[in-house]
Amino acid sequence: MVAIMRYLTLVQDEILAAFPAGKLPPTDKVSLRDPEELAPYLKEPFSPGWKSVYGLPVVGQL
Amino acid sequence: MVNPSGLLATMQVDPFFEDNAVGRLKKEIWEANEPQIDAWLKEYGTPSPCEWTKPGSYIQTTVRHQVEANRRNNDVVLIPLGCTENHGKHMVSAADTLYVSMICEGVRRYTAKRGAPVNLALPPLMYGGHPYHHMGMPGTVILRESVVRELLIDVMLGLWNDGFRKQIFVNNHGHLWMLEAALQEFCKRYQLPGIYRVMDWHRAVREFFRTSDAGGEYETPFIHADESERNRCSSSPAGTSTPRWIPIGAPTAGAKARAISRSRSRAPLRGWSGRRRRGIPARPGAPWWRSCAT
Repeated sequence: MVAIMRYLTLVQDEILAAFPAGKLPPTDKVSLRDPEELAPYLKEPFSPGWKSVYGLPVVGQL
Repeated sequence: MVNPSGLLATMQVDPFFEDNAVGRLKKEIWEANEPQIDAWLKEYGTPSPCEWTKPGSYIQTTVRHQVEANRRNNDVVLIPLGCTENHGKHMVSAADTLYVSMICEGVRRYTAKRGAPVNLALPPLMYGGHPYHHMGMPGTVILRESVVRELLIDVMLGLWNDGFRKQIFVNNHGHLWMLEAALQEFCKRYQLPGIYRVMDWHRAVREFFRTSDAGGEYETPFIHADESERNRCSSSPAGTSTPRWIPIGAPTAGAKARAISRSRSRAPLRGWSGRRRRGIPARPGAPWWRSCAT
């Protein structure tokens, strides 16, 4: 149990070191969506300009 | 002893660990003594009863303003995944879900002490998907695969919408392929930036679960020996055998685990108890949430 708890701690530490809280991998590197279109959805919920992800248009295979 | 390139030797003939952050972490634990293991367990507040109802432990049991404050410091969310499964008469059917929840809770307690607690989502799969050889077992409740997949996709989307965009599925049950499928489909369908991971926790630290026939200290293979071998468990009350649900001689998850373990083990494991590494005592009659099989 020590091993997995310390392993998970390391995983979350490394994620946060690469992408601190609120930061994400760049849209154009990981998504087919237009970065400008997606920008409002990436904001903190309820912050100015934020949009809910449930309003995003469908992309890809239907 | 010759140290293969890129690998770290231990005080034993085997195993070797990779020379990276994970390997160095495992080597440190592998070579730790009992007081050090106890000290680490204490840092994580382990053992501890499950915290499903504890205020402030899970996103769903934390007041909203605190959820938002926590997320601004740490937006990683651990999502424990288990099932409802008959593990034998000496066990409860939520064992998998309870184990993995308590692991994640330990990580939350530890990171909270450092000032930025990781977030926990309540287990979305109190039932679970199951492999075909579980079909028909009383006490095991089986969700169809499409339900598991779509439920997890919806959970991922909802958490993402709330700003939890670094999501780690921590799995304690034999439905890994459904979790991987859910993650893949989520990424294809929504095309949302984030960090998405799924792991079988026992595979992430598999070196610590060797069986006695491979030189380790475990009586049964970790990977659900209970399906075919639960009667071997020393904690089973006498006369509580449960019939097999797969043909004798058929390949089992347990057999596979033993084969893997054998292939990686060439020397007896000496030293301290593997159970203590997990915070689980070996004695019969211990509380169910600290007992033998998983």
